[in-house]
Amino acid sequence: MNRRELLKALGAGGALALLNAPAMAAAKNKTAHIVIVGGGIGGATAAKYLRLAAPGVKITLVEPVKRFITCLRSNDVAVGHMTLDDITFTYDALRARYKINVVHDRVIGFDPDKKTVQLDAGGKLAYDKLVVSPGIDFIYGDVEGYTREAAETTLPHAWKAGPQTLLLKKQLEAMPQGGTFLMVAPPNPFRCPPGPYERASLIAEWFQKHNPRAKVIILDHKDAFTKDVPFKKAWERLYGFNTPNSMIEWIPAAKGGTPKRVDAANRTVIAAAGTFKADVVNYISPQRAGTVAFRMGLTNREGWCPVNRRTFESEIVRDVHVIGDACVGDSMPKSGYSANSQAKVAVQAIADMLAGKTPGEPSMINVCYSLAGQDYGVSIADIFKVVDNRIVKLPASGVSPITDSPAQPLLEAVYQRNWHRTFANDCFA
Amino acid sequence: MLKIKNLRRLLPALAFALLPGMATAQQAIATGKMLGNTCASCHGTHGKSFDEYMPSLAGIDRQQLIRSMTDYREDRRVSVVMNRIAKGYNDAEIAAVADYFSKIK
Amino acid sequence: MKQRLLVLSLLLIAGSAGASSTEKPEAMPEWESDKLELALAHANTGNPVEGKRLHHYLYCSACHGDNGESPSRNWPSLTGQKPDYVMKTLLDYKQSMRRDHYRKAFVMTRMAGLLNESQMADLAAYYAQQPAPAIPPSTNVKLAKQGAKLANRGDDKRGITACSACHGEHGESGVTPDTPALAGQTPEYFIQAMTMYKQGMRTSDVGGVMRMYSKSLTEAEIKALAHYYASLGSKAGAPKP
Repeated sequence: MNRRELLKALGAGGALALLNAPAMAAAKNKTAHIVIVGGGIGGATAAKYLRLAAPGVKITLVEPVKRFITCLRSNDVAVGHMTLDDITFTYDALRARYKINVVHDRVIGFDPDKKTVQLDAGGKLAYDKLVVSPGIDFIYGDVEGYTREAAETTLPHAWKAGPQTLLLKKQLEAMPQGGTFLMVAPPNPFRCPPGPYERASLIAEWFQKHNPRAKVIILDHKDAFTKDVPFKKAWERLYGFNTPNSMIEWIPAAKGGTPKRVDAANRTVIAAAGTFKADVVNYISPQRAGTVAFRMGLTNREGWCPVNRRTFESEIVRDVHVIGDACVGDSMPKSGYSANSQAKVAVQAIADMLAGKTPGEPSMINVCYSLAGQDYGVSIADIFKVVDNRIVKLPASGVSPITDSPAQPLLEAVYQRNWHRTFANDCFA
Repeated sequence: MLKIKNLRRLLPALAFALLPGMATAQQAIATGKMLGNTCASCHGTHGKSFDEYMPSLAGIDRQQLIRSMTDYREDRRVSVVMNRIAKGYNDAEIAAVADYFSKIK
Repeated sequence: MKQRLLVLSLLLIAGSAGASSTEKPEAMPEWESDKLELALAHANTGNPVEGKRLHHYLYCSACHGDNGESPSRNWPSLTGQKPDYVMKTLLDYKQSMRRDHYRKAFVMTRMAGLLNESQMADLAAYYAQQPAPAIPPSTNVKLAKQGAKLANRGDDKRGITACSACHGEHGESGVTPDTPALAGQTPEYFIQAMTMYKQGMRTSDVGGVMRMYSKSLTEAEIKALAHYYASLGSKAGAPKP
């Protein structure tokens, strides 16, 4: 164990601030500059809550796009219940209300010793603390025949909302009557664990109205998925799941669902379970931390960013905090809600560190409402604490109970929409 | 023999055991503000909801919030998700979050 | 979207939760009095035992409390209402006449959509059987005193009729059985209801009567009235603070 690792270990107990006291005192003499890389859910939340926690600091958010499209509710866009505009957010409120300096640029270089990041348009930003919220990127070529080009032209993953979401929508609309929609659900860990199954549900519902003989097939890398019990119950109730006329067929890894090869030109996926030729193939790629995290050297061998779980400070580079989908979050799912919650913990740690205090006790939460149909919601709710540098899910909580009350899934669906509006405001407004 | 990797994992626990004054840190709870910020993702920033049915928590009567949370936790009151969420918090945490929201104007 | 964010930031600057009328839908349905009479013909035939079952089975109790008396400031109490009023309210929702803050009303619009008229009558019978609500903990005695005069005497100069003329001397409902009891009602809900009438967002009042009366009331008067009627709640079973 070297000195840095010893510091980390002791830091969990609070000795870090003590050993860092001279550095802290130096930081106090000038206005601290916090730079945030990535303006998605995690980055936007971090910027806003940093301002709330530390009114005096200088905050710069670096994000390439001017209008950010959230993945949240993009499944609704694919089936026409919402538009991309409904899930698009600007940085106007962060600028005007929270005095965040928003720079639309890309980070192309990083000097952890001089504590600067290099911007694409030229110029460097010097930081006291850096927050990186890189999101995810895709691993292409995990199976033969699946390429970036295939994703962008014929077999969209649509796992980042935007052009591929609309491509998927167009493909669904162009499907012949009685056709097949084939989804490949990714291996763990990936962004939005209930997302594939919500998408399959909403597409089945859309078929009921527009293409009643069409079918949804899910080839899965896994044998279980989040909220699978209430999801399958919903599929039974709504789409005939487990009957010969089921609109949804789910093929887990144990039944040969893992894809082996893709023939993009023929919209065909080959797995142990068989050769599946479909009219629309939604191949959701395996995932890793966003590219910028690799560029900055923040990732581990598995392609994710290891962090101190109490502060989200990188275990690789000091004074850099990594939040959201890209970080190693243990039992926390890679969700927008988690990113928002982790941002608030990182903000507390940064504000405490800048004030020369030991970072306060973290507390995190994740609640995901998914739609199994427009009027049928299923949810998961968990509270997380940090024990011995691991994020631990508290034993209670969990997924929606199965009840026979029609009010319960309906209320979950209604809450889903309420939640989405409030949540987006908590991040961006 | 312990592998280095395992030893590293043990270190935080050892630090707790060895350093005086750190034992209490183990039972530490998050501040009302930290806890309240996690509620904000559904109930609005500072507990101010945006005209939604998930209610505002800002300025709520302290006792009313404590009673609601404990009723949810003990399953004395039904709900869609709050029963599941309330089970994640002990009395001290509920009191801290109630202090926090009751003082917001 | 930009526009929506702008509206939101304006709202936040105004800092008032009640200031927004949110999205006002174009068509606002209204009752015709003979149709309402017909719709309420069976309001008093409900089965309170079945009503109690539905109250729990359909998660009504999640918001409105174990027996319909609101456990928090966020939702109205339903106890002590005459069956006609509860039945009418559920029909109002089902027909989208209640657009209180629109989004807030949406949950009840959908819930009422689950009910047939006989189930509505069952719920109405159950709530009518429950004792009227206690004084809510947020009731402000000083404000309550301010509201008393306007509630009981009105204001001739401004053509405001005393509320008690229709809602009863003690806020116990009155002239017609579909007039709500106000005694012990959550003041926050009372204020929301009156504000929505005032803004024309709630069109369930037959002949627009409440929309008319609320128009001439100031925000301060509405608040005082809310606390006055809350203070008329039963003192016996008042929940401990």
